Amino acid sequence: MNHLQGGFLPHRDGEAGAHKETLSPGHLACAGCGLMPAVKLLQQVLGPRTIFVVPACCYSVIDGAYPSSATGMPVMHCAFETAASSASGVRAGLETLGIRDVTVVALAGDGGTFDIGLQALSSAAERNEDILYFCYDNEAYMNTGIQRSSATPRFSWTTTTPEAIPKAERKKDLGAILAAHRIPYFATASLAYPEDLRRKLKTAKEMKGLRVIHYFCPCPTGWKSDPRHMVRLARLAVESRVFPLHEVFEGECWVLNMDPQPVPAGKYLELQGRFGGRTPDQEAAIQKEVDENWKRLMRKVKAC
Amino acid sequence: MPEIAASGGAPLPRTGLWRYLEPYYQDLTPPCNNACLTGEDIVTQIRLVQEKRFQEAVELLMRVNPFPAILGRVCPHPCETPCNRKAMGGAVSIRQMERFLGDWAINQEYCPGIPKANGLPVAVIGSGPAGLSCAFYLRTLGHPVTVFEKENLAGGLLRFGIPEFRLPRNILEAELSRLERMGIQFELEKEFGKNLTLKDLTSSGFSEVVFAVGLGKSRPLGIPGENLPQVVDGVQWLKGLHRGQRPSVRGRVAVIGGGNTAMDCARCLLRLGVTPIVIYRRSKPQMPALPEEIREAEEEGVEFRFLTAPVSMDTVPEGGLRIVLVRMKLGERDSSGRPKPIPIPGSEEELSVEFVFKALGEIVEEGPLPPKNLQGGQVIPCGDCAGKGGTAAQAIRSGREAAYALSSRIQGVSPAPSLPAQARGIVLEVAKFKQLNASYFNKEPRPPAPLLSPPERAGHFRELQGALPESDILSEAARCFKCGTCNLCGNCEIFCPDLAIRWEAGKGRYSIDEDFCKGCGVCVEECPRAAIHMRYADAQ
Ligand SMILES: Cc1cc2nc3c(=O)[nH]c(=O)nc-3n(C[C@H](O)[C@H](O)[C@H](O)COP(=O)(O)OP(=O)(O)OC[C@H]3O[C@@H](n4cnc5c(N)ncnc54)[C@H](O)[C@@H]3O)c2cc1C
Ligand SMILES: Cc1ncc(C[n+]2csc(CCOP(=O)(O)OP(=O)(O)O)c2C)c(N)n1
Ligand code: SF4
Ligand code: SF4
Ligand code: SF4
Ligand SMILES: [Mg+2]
Repeated sequence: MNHLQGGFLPHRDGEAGAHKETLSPGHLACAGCGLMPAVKLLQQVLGPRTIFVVPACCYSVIDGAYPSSATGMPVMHCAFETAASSASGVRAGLETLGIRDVTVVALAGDGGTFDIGLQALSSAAERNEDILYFCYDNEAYMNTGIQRSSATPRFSWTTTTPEAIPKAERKKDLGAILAAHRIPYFATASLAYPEDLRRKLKTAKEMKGLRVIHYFCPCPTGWKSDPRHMVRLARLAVESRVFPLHEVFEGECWVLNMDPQPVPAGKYLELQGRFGGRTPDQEAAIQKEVDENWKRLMRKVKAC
Repeated sequence: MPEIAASGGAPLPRTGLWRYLEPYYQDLTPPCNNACLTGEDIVTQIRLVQEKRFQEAVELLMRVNPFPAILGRVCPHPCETPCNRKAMGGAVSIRQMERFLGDWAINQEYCPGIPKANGLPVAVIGSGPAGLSCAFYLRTLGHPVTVFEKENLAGGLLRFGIPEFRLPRNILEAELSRLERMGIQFELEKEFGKNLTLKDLTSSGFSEVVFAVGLGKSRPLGIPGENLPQVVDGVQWLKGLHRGQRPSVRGRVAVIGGGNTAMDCARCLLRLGVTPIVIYRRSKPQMPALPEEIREAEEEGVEFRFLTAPVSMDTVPEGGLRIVLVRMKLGERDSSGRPKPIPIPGSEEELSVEFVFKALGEIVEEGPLPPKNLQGGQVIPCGDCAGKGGTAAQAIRSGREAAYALSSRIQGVSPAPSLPAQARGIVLEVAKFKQLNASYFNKEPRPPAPLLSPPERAGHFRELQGALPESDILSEAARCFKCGTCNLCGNCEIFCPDLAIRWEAGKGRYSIDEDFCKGCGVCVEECPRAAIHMRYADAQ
């Protein structure tokens, strides 16, 4: 990664303002929230001509209580199930006003995307609405107290799937669902690979139609993990193939972006209290699922 | 475009109040810096090299070591031993980088900036690395300097000890000529105690004198036969060789000792077509010679007899020598910290050779140091004669320290500390590999330095080890982790969820905004090089 080489002396003094962020400190995210660095990158790449549409989710709280707002860009709060439809409405409104240079971003959680918002998203996909849908997947309904969602992985603890009876069902395959809608662009992203995330945001920005980014979002509060491990978990998820980084163009062309030396899923699980009750059999089952998912993905990648 | 909903809104809360842990920036000492014998700030030099800022790297380097082209060839490089890169592809080629900078400085005819001469001239006795380094720093501190040397050429053991195949003489000359360009005077064939006295120095107007006279006397074998004509003093023999004499040794030669003198004698003998047998009373791991010299000597075909010591020597009618040897075993550790060799009774054997080389190293020669210096104070010795180490690098450090001490003594003020922390003896916590975030580094191999193959080394004294090309030097600079030192990579800023890490325009660094840092520790964890740490929020 080139950003690691570092400069030596005040290499940034010349570019005053280049690092001025739009997002303000003082937002209400938990310490070590995986979403906030991504919002920074999102704003850096998309620039000021952006409108956020946010359904009920952590971010609606993080932004701050009215009249304060940490986002520093227009935010429209909307009902839990309506991220995609509200964003479609904003786009239609801008269209009517003849404004074409604004990116409409739906910023929604996994509950608002995989579960209650799926219908709205599916319809927006069918209409190929010109919106950038950014789903931050923290794998549960965190805002309301860590209830399981259909994005919660198998054998994970949540408040509705206690340790004695952890979640039995596997996570929905959002990429495959959206690919089936043949949207122009779908990508998974992880903060551990900031260059990759930036590139995907840029790709999405330059396209028209429905673009969905499925962002892997570590949540120390809901995952019972050490806040300092936020990026480490984002990295281990990719290295263990639990969350492969890939893109799908037009629902047809599957591209794998990272293929690091794989590490056992256990390395990823062991840092999280939500998997603290797992048995060796369950860990083996998780590994098996990871391997199968990887094979499924590779079949699609190779077919292109 | 609609107005921002929040415009004119209420201020955001000071979420930093949630914090119970707080991060702070603190560079640690990199292991290489900690181990450097002269006290170089290696990691900063590497960063400058990486940016191709060679001149600045040389300037920084020469604040502590005036002879990078020399030490870049002959230093035992203890800096590379603890290098954290070892775990991922091999230690960074630090000595090669120093050599690169030294050769760069020679090619550019680089000379450090010299202040105007003050009226406090200093005499330096002895022109080995200690005396030369002392002269160099005295001159940079403003003193006019004259170096007095008893031989007809300057350099001490750099010239008369270390063979050319390890230190080519054009390199030595080039680094010496820099001192001349700095205006340092050399008076050769002036031996203190013989044709030079304290009185002479006083009457010539010198304010002070420094002694850097080295050791000068070979350690005796202490066995019968020591004074036979076929028993040669190794250091003296090397000196003759380096003067261009081709001594008439032949046949089989026993070299007694395990240090650099023994290795260099054996390797020079080999190049002259003689068959040396090194006899050492302990075993290989205890040898004081540099490991790389031992390895190279072995490659070249020098025969070693470990755990063996001579008991007596006498002549045989045919003209050679017969040595009685005894086998040794290792016992308890002695005062040197090494296991003491103990003779095994009844294990005596004989060895017939043409000559025996005494190469047990050197000891202090009695007498040359006067009891008082020019000011009536204590004499300032440096280098080997002060018992400081036994390597050229330590002699250089010792010479520099003497220069600073002396200058502050006679000028009455301490010179401004332009020296890196390590050279001033400031060592913080040393950055360990496990404190780094290895996810940011790939395993990358250390490039092998060009080296003549053993057959290519035979029969001549040309340099053995070549230089790494500039491309390798630059990739080595990039391969360095920069352990414990912030190189402004920006990771902490990128990953901070709370925008609490700010670039301080004009100051060239980051700072942490305590009003908003929630103490998550992500910056600490994701710093690749352990330059940020965590403490309890009320610790400060
Ligand atoms: C064979 C050999 C190989 C070595 N190899 C290495 C190596 O690879 N790497 C390494 O780091 N170290 C090596 N060393 C050790 C290193 O050379 C010495 O530690 C170092 O040179 C000591 O420096 P010095 O300036 O204190 O003394 P010296 O180098 O001994 O210099 C003393 C000088 O003072 C002069 N002098 C003495 N008495 C008087 C007097 N009365 N008046 C005027 N001048 C006088 C001498 O002629 C000499 O020039 C080696 C040593 C030997 C013997
Ligand atoms: C129709 C409706 N049902 C329930 C809620 C309560 N609610 C608000 S946010 C939320 C969970 C959001 O989960 P997710 O989308 O994953 O976002 P996160 O909180 O994890 O960021 C719920 C259940 C609501 N606001 N509206
Ligand atoms: S990796 Fe670089 S900073 Fe770390 S010990 Fe090695 S040379 Fe020094
Ligand atoms: S990443 Fe930011 S919020 Fe977290 S400890 Fe570091 S400075 Fe504080
Ligand atoms: S992460 Fe990079 S910029 Fe931040 S302290 Fe570490 S080395 Fe410096
Ligand atoms: Mg969620």
